[in-house]
Amino acid sequence: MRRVNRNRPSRTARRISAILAFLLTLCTLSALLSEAAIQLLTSETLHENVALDRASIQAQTEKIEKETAMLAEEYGFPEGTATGAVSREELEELNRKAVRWWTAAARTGVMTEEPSWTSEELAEAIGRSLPQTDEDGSAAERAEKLRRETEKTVTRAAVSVRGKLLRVAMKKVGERINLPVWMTVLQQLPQAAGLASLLLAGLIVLLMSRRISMGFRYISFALGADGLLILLCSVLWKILDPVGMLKESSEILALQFSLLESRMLLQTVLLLVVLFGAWTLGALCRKRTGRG
Amino acid sequence: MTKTENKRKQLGRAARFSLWLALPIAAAIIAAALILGGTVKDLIHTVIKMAVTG
Repeated sequence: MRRVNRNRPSRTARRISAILAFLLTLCTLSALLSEAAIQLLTSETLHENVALDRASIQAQTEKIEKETAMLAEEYGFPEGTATGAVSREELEELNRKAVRWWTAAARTGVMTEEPSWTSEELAEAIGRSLPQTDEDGSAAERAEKLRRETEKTVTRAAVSVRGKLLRVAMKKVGERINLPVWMTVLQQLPQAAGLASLLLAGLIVLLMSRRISMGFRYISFALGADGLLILLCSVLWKILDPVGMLKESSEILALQFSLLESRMLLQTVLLLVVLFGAWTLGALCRKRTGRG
Repeated sequence: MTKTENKRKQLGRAARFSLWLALPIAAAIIAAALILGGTVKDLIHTVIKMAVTG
């Protein structure tokens, strides 16, 4: 007669738990990856931090100063006329507006008018530089053109080519899928997958109720598997090299994206520490029994 | 069996189990990356080119 160990879960329970652990791996991975995708696409806080980073603002200021100096020269004004047209605070505010605009567009899948920058002070500064003698009578017209071009330059530096990129990307992707619907689904996915993960973990613990520590071990193995898969996804992301691709369109956008990547890298490392920590605990924690 | 050997054995068993759990999903992810990677990269390049040229 077969001896039944009442302290040990049955073979069927262990097999079902292994399948549930696989499903748990899948659900947790979906929750983590969709959360990362949502952060990357719609997190206002994360993108505001990146947009207001010193390196990013410095790069934008340098670009504005260089281009406005060239514009002033082109329209026959002294070189420094429009340089310093925008203060750091104004540039930061414009960046905030740009972030709010494009994260809203990514969240809803609907593009609205992109933010722009206008300044009365700039018009005054250019007015003060108007030449005393206006031989051909075109000075006022040139001043107006310089003002408009300078405003466009400032807007372009803060919004970069992101507006165009988003518009084209949404059009291209929208041809294949219903973007607003998919964005709504994506935003619900982390909660749904997280809830399913909790349910699966609960089921595993229930199945292993004869020895709960064994149930926790199955859960920790699933978390370890998630850690390995996140490592794989990070490697694939590096191979795709989005920063390198963005460099073709805009240096500032590429800089902002690499800042974003470094911030997300920190989160990923912390997540991996938690996942592998749970795995190690699960692997080493074992109830001591007389039979081993 | 010493305590260290026992722990090493436990970790080895846990690593094997986690690898088995991760393997099918990793295979699916790699297959998807191989099949769709080129298309996605082309799509991104096209979008960037269109945005730059206006």
